[in-house]
Amino acid sequence: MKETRKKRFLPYFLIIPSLIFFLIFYIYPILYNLYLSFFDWNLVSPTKDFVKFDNFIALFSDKEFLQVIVNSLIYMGATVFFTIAIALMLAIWLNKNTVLHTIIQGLVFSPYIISFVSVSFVWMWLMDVDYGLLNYILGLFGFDKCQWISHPDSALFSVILVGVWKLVGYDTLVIIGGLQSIPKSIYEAVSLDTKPNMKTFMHITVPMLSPTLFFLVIVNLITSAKVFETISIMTKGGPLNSTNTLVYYIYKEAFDYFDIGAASAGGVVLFVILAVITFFYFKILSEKVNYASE
Amino acid sequence: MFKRLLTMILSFCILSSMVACSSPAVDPAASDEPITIEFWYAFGGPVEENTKRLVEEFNASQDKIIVKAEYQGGSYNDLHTKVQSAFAAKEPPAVTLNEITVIQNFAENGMIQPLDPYMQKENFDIDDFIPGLLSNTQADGKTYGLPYLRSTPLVYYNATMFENAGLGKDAPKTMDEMMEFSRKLTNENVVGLSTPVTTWTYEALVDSYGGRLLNEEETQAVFNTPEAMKAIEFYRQGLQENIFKITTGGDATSQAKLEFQNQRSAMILGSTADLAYYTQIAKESGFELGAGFIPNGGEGAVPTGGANLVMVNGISEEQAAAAWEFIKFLTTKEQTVKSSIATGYLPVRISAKDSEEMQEFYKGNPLFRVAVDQLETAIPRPMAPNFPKVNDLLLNALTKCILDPSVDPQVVLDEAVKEANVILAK
Repeated sequence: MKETRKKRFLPYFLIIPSLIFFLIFYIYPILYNLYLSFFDWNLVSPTKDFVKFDNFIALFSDKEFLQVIVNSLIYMGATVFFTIAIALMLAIWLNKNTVLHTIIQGLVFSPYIISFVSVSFVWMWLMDVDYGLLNYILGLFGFDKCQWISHPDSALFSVILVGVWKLVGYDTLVIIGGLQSIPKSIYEAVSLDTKPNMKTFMHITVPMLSPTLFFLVIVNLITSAKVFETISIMTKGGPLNSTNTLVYYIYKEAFDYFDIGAASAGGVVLFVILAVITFFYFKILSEKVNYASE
Repeated sequence: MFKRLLTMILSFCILSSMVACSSPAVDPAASDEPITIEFWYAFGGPVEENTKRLVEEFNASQDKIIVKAEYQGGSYNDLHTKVQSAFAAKEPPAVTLNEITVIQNFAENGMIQPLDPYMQKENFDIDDFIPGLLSNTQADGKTYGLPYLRSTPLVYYNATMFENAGLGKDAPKTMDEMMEFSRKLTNENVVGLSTPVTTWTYEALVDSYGGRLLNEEETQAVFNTPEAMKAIEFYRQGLQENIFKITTGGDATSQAKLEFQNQRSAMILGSTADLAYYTQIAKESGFELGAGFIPNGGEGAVPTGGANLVMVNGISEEQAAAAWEFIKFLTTKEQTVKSSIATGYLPVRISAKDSEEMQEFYKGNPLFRVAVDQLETAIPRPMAPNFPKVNDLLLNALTKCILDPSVDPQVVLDEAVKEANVILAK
C-alpha cells in the first residue's frame, strides 16, 4: 500500500522544480499576455481599462497589420524554402572528409555564430546603393543599381537574403549530419542496379533525410517568425511598411507607441499562427516522414 | 533513498528562493551618509564624454550626493523605453532626458514630476533660459523639464562648391533661392541637395512655409494645408529636375550624410548637433563648410529639437532634492557654456549665450553661432501623446510621395491627415 502510493506520487514530486520553472517562465507570461490583450494600458498608468475584443478588432481592421501578416508569411516561407534548398546543395557538396571540405564547412557555418546585429550592419554596408559592394559587382556585369533596402519593392527580399545567409550554415551542418547517418549499404545496393542519379537522390536520399528536413523546417519557421534584429537595424520596418513583420510590429506598438493592449493582441496572433503551423505540420507531415533509419 | 529525497527538497528550496528574492534590499538611509541617485542618458561620442565630465565634476563639487550616470542606448527611443520599463518596475532613475515631444505624454502618465515647487522655493531664474526653448518643457501650465541638449535644424553647405559655381559664400536665404542654387550646383557628379525623409527636417520646411504639422490645440493634423503642401512640392520639384537626392528607409539619414561628406551633394538639412562632425569631415576632405538658417519659405519659423532634463516620479523626497541639485548643476551658466562648446548643442541660457567665453568661441567658430541666432524664430514642436504614431503616418505618406512620382501628394497627405485625426481624437 505504502509502496504503491510512493510510486504514484514520486514522479510528480521529481518534476516539481522544472514544473515550477515552466509555470513561471512559460505558462504565466502566455496567460498574462492573453489577459493584457483585452485591456487598454500604456505600461505605466495605474489603471487598465477592460476593452473586450477592441484590440483585436482594431488590429484586423488596420490595413498596416494585414500587411504585416503578409510580410511575415512571405518572410517565413521564403527564408525556410531558400535556406533548406541551398543548405541541401551545400551539404551534398561538402559531405566529404577532406581538409578543404572541412574548412569550407567552417566558413559556411561562421555566419550562424556572429551576432545578428553585426551581421545587419555589415549587410547595410554591402547593400548601400551608391557605395556598396553588391551594387559595384552588379555594375561590373552591366546591371542597373539595385535599391536594396531603400525601396519597398526590394527591401523585404533584401532582409530575406540576410536571413538565409545567416541560417544556411546551421542547416548545412545538420543536413551533413543527416547524410552521414544514412547507411552506406543502401547506396551500395543501388549501385548494383544503376549509377547514382537524380532518382537515387529523390527516392533514397530525401526520404532518408526526411526526419532531419522535418526538424529543420520547424526550427527555421520558428526562427524566421521571430525575426527582429535585421528589421530593427536595417529597415525599421520600412520603407512604407514593406519589411514590417510581426515581432517588430509588436515591439513598436509596445515601446514606441506605448500601447500594451495592441502589442499583446499582436503577440496572441503570433502565438496562434505558430501554434497552427506547428500543429498542422506535425499532423500532416509526420505521417510522411521516414523514421526507419533511427 | 532518504538522502536523495533530502537533496531534492534542498535543491527545490534553493530554486524557489532564487525565484522569490527579486525584491530589492531595504536601504537604511543614514542621515550623514551621501545619497546616491541615478542619471540615465542616451548617445555616445562627444555627448557621452561631456555627460561623464559633468557627473564627475558634480560628484567632486560636494560630498552629500553621488550621481551614477548610466548609458541607456543610442537613441531617445531606447532611453524612453528603458525609463518607462524601469518606472513600471518601480525602480526608476532619479534624473533622465526626455526628447522634447514626449514631455506631455510622460507628464500625463505621472512618470515625471513638475519642477515648479523647487523653482519657487529658491526663486530659480527660469527667465534666463532662451524663451524659444522653454515652450517644449511645459505641460498643463507646469514646468516638467529644463532645456539641456537642444538643437535646431540648419542647412549645411559646401562653400567651396558654392564659390566654384559662382554663388558666393552665403547660404540660400529663401526656399526659391535654394532651388535655384541646387540647379546651378548640380552636375554629373553632384546634386544640389541631399536630405533624408525624416519628419523633423520636413517639419522645418513646413514651418518655414508657414504651415504646421498639428493645429495649436494638437487635436487635428494640418499638414495637408496649402502652406504645408509647399514643402512636399519643393521636394518633388527638386526630384523631378534631378537636382535633389532624397533618401528613404531605415538608413536614410546616414545615406544622405554620406552624400554630403563625400562631396556628392552641395547642401544637406540637418541638426545643429552634427556641426562638430561636419567641421571635422570638411577639414579632412579639404572643403570649406558653411551653415545657414533653414531658408525662408514665407514665415521662416523653425522647430527646435533635442532633449530636456526631467525628474522622474516615484523616488524618495531626499532623492528628489538631490536630483534637483544635480539638474541645477547641469544647467548653470558655466556648465552650459562648456557643454555647448564640447557638443555643438545650443547654449540654453541667455547669460551663457552672451558670456565672454561663448562670444570668444563664436569669433573663432562663426558657424556655431548660426543655430543660436536662428532661435529668434523658433516655435514649439507637437507634444500630443499620440504624436509618435502620427509621426510614422506622416513619414510613410512622405516616403510614398518621394518614391512614386505618379502619386498626387495632396491625395496621399489628405489620407494621412484623416488617419492621424482618428489617432489624435483617441
